[in-house]
Amino acid sequence: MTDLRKRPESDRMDQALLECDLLRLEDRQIEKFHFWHDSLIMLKQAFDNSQPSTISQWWWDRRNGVQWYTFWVAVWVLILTILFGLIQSIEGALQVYKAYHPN
Amino acid sequence: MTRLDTVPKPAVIHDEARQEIIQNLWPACDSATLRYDDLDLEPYFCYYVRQCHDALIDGGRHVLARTHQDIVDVARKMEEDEPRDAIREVLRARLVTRGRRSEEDILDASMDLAARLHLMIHITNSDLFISRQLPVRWSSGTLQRCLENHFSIPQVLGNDHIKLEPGFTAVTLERIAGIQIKPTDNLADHLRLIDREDKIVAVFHHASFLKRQTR
Repeated sequence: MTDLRKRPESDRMDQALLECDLLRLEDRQIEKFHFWHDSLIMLKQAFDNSQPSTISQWWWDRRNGVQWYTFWVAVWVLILTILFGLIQSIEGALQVYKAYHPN
Repeated sequence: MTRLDTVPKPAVIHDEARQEIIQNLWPACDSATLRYDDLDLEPYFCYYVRQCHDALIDGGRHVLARTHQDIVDVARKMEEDEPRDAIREVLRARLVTRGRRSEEDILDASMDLAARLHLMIHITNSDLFISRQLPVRWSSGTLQRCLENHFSIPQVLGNDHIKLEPGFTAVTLERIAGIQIKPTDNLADHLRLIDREDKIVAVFHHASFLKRQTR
């Protein structure tokens, strides 16, 4: 769905949707919805109860800002640690090799 | 009006016919505000053609409407708040062959088809097609009353602590919650979770159709 314009012709969504603005705070008050009230609440519950389960969802879920930064900084630190550890191990191995077989 | 005398075949509805259909189904209050450039009515006409195609199966044995004009006429009667029985009698007078066993079904199907095209709500009394769409049944009285009954169901759920954040959009629903958006042509299905795992939500996407209604 994510790109409205890229759907196949048979499944095309109304392009006028692109011109709909996002609702402002006063229009987003749940009490203002008469017919869609219950459907919106159920959808919001489904949304709130969902936990990200794929890497892509982990990346996009920024509802909890602090947690997001902590998680991804930790991931980055892990990657760097492994990377540098690997480089050091290889260099160490090369040094040992050179020590035993001086040309 | 000759453009409305064409048969709604699944092929193509030309631009002039489209304009006539739109103007006749939903006459605008002020003709000066009729602007079509900001409206994308292609999805509506895909829906129109699909509905006609489905209704005309079996050589059109199940429905009375044969041209766009037939549909517009029934829609007009609905707008004038005529009860279903009165519209039925008007249609009965148009039947070529009377006394068929399926006469009532044919008249019902014709009225339901016109209502569906007029409102984009799945109004039907027939179980001819298996559909996952939520049907609205209009069996008697005026269409207005039937819709009022359907759309004024009282709110059941409490809304304490429910806040709709700015980040609560279709895009984030898909990206974060893994809830897929499925476009629907049935206004009664809007925002309904349609699968067992609550991972697919139907969204009525015809913004142009809705905009046109308010003009």
